[in-house]
Amino acid sequence: MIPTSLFLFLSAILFAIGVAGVLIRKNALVIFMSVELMLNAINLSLITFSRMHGNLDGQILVFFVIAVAAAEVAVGLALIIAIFKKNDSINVEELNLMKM
Amino acid sequence: MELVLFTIFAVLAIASALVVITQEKPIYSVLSLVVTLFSLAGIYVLLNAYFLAMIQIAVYAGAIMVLFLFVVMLLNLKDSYKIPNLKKLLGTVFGGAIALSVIFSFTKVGRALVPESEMPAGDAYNMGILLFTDYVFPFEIASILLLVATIGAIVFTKKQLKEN
Repeated sequence: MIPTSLFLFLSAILFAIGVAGVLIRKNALVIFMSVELMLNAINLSLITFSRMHGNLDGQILVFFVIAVAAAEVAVGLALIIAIFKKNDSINVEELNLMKM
Repeated sequence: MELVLFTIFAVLAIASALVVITQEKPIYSVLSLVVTLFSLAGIYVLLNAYFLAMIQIAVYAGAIMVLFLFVVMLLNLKDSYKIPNLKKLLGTVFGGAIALSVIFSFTKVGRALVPESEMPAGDAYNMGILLFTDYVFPFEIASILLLVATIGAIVFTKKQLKEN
């Protein structure tokens, strides 16, 4: 039997990698992928806790997280394409419309 | 045996996640994110979440990552970007601090996983019964959310065309 904490540690490490990706990258697409990585880390800990308590409610929540992530990706990628058409770049440091 | 499989999937997931954030070209990031999602699906199977492992492969590694791949090819980004050393250092420090603090709080979780026999399997049958009885309202709301997202994506890209 694998100890519970191993799954949770894996989830924590993946989440931290996602946070580091959001912090160090400038490409909007890669930042978006790092957010997906964080969502997946959370899904893993939800499934682990669901197994720890012995019922399926946590897994249902993961199902809805995946559905919302699909919707988020559709809108987010459409936004990235719109920004690229306007600026010819998806570097987040060049998006300073709100600063001026 | 279980522990061996867990180690393989975990090492694969962490290594490919690191490739996602350090790779200069976005296309390699997309492809290694697919590897991460696949190995997470393997770990879901170890946790008896069979239905979610299947959804993970079909929806995440399949549909969502193909969408990312399409956008990467559509945008045709030429500049590949080198991460400055200062940012690498800051990312490692902040990421490490978050990982350590979360891991420290997770060491307090003392309960073991329940044995396989004491829990309903997370297959399509049991998940379906829960989805269509207790969780039928959120399920319907999720369908409306997906419809709104589809319309939103179309509107975003169409408006831009008209202005040009």
